[in-house]
Amino acid sequence: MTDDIISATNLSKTYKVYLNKKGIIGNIKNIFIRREKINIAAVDNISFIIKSNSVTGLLGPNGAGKTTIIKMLTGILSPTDGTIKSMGLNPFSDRKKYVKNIGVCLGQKPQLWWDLPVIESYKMLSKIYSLEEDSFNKYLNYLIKKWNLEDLLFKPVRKLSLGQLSRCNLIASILHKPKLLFLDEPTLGLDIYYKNIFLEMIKEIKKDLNTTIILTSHNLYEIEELCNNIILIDKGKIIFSDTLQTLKNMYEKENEIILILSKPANDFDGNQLKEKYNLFNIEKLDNNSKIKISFDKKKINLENLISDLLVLFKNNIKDIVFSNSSLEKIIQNILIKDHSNNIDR
Amino acid sequence: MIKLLKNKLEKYFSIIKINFSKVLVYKYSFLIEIISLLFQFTASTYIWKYILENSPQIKNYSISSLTNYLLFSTIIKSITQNTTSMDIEKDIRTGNIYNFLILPIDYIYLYLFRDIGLSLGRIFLNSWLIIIYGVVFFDINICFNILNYSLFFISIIFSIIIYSEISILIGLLSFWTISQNGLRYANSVISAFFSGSLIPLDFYPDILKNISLFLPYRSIIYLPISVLQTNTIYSNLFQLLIQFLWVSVLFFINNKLKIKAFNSLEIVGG
Amino acid sequence: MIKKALKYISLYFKFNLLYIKTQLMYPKDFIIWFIFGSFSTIINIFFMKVIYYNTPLLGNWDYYQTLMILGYSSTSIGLFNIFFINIFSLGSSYIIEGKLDKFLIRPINVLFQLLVERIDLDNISELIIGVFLIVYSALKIGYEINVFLILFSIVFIIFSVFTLLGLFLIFASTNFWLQEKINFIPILYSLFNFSRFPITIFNKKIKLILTFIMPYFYLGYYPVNFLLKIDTKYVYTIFYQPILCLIFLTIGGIVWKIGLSKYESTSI
Repeated sequence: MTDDIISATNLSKTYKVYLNKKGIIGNIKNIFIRREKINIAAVDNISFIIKSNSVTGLLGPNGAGKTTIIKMLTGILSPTDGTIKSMGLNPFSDRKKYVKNIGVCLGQKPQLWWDLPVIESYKMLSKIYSLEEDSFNKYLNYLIKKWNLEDLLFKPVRKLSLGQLSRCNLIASILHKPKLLFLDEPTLGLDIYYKNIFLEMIKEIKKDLNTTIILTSHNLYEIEELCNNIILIDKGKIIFSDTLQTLKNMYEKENEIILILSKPANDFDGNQLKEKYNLFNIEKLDNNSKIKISFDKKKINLENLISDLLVLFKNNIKDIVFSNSSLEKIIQNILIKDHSNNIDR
Repeated sequence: MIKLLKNKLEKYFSIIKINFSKVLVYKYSFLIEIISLLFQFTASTYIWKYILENSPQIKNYSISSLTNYLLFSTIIKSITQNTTSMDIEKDIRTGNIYNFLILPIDYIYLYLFRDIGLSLGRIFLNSWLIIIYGVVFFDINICFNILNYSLFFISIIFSIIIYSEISILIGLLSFWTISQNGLRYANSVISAFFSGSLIPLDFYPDILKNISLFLPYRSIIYLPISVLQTNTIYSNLFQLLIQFLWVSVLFFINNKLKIKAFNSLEIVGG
Repeated sequence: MIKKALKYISLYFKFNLLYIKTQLMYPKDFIIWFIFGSFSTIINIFFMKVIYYNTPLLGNWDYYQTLMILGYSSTSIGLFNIFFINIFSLGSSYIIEGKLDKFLIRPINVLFQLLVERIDLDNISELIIGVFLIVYSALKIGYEINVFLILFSIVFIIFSVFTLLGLFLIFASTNFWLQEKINFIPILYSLFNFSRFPITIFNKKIKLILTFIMPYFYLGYYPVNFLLKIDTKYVYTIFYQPILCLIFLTIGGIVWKIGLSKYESTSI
């Protein structure tokens, strides 16, 4: 039975921005005359629920409000309107108590002390979170062994590479075994190798601690690997909030088959095939040496289509590529639709 | 040939112009700098005024000429201060220096003209504020002698260039030194000491006075003010010559250093 | 309540020991820093010499007496720079770059974390030279170095350091509102210029301001004047200091708190 660990109702964050005038005369005016104020809603009346033990991905274009939401959920930023209840507490007003049970891993701002060796930072954190010495040491040793961090322990943080720093930072955020873990673009700038290691670490952490994880990322592969739920945000509003599978089901429409031919099919006319199967599109590409077929996988008989194609292009097929609609494409489509629906928002 | 020169001049002139107008953008931080310098000036002036009230002259300085010295020392300090050595050190440390190597602009000229632009801008912002402060609170006399002031203006330009070149030198040296701030701090302290910024170099014991003759710092504050306060045109022109000498020497050193640094960069490869 | 205080004190010691240990790991760097760090104090001594070369007295103060003022001033400033130097960076980097966030994430006081984050042993030369000057000038004046002197010095130097903390806190916190536009810290550092001399050479306004509004004269002049009893009018002014210290710390704490809550409502 999973219950709600976080519930946000009618959450809003509005900023007041002063308009500055430019130029010499403008600068003088700025000092004496009251400047125009406008309100910008970074987060606009959103409500959502995070279930305990889930991994939720927070997605959206830059400036959509993701970081603002994370800041409000971690108690760093106070909402202008609305309420948040997280683990039974108000993150902002009960901050000191609340923070004892959450872990935050911000990609660009590591938690560790710059000049000190990593192990000293960990020890410091254990004192800050008032962790019991024996169980802390046991847990730390377990983590170090598991992720091969022995070599890094005694290096000062400023000497670590980005890959090493990210891993150490992640460990730092879970030393106190938090029930709730926030990850804000944790793999930004990491190479492929470390990205994967990081993903593995997150998966293992979830298994070990049964933490609820909230993740923002632009890396959709990461999102697909880790998340059960997705919240999609644009311009401060929630456009989609449900499970990852639902997202795929609702929007997965375009599938493609690309045939790469040995000899160009100059005489081929795809209209018959298009009508027969109600395909979205058949195109000839690259001087007729490639055929691209777009369709909805759920609405056609795939087996028949493929056999027809094999017959049509017999002895001419060099390669076949199947591609399903990627998460990236699905989300792009949602965003485009949202923009066209709300042009003057 | 003339066109090439014209293009070059336009390039550098535009750098000067952009930085000149930065003064408006950073007006508040420059104001804070001025206020900080004015506190130092106030403390010094009280001390020396107190001392000179009991004796008419010290080392050829009367109360009026000494307070005048301190005032103009403050003005020159407020104009010449820059962050150049820090910026160059940062460029080298972060590898950002590569971005400048790609540009069709000489790295040294880039910072030199930037400093000139900023300093020229600050002349307009700072000098009248500081002069008003001095006149109102300390009754300092400013006598207007057009010839002296024109020579003084040229001298200040040289000061700005020399100070900038020294900063560039220190910045480039950071390429080879391990300690980050040490060299800069040492330079700022030695510079403050040997430039005569706190008291005229005449007050120093002979050994130190002689050492200061061989260092460029003297040309930053002591020389320009002596140009202002001396009426003999020949000695003034001579001071300007010394400044020009230092401008050239430092320029030469900086270029050599730059070439050495860039060569090492290519070998190490980042 | 006591448990909390104990926790903070133990954390503080741990941090300090750690930083000292780390900085001592590189003895070569440390020596360079020690030498460079002493330059500015040595220059202050040099200028004191130049001044007294040209006059026997400043106010009613002779060379060694003023040297003692310099000693107390350097000691207090040195201590402040070692332990509380991070407040310098509040406006210039912590607020603008949002580095305060990582403090807010942890279940302990944010100001404590800010101050403890950096301990600058580079300034220890200022501290050591300052103490040396106090002892040296006391010997030259013929002032007896006894338990009273030591206790008195420790107590009032600590008051000085904390008064400075309060003062700097007030001005540094203004950056919560002003952000990168204006940074008052350089001005506060420049006022140290006034703390090295007997105050009788300044005019009345300056005396009032630097005694009650910006308490810089307590760094050097007032404690030494109490000990040596040179200007009888100001011998007991030193005893205002504990009150001022409390006032400045309180105001500083309040301004900080208000500023922090503003940061939390418009975090950059």
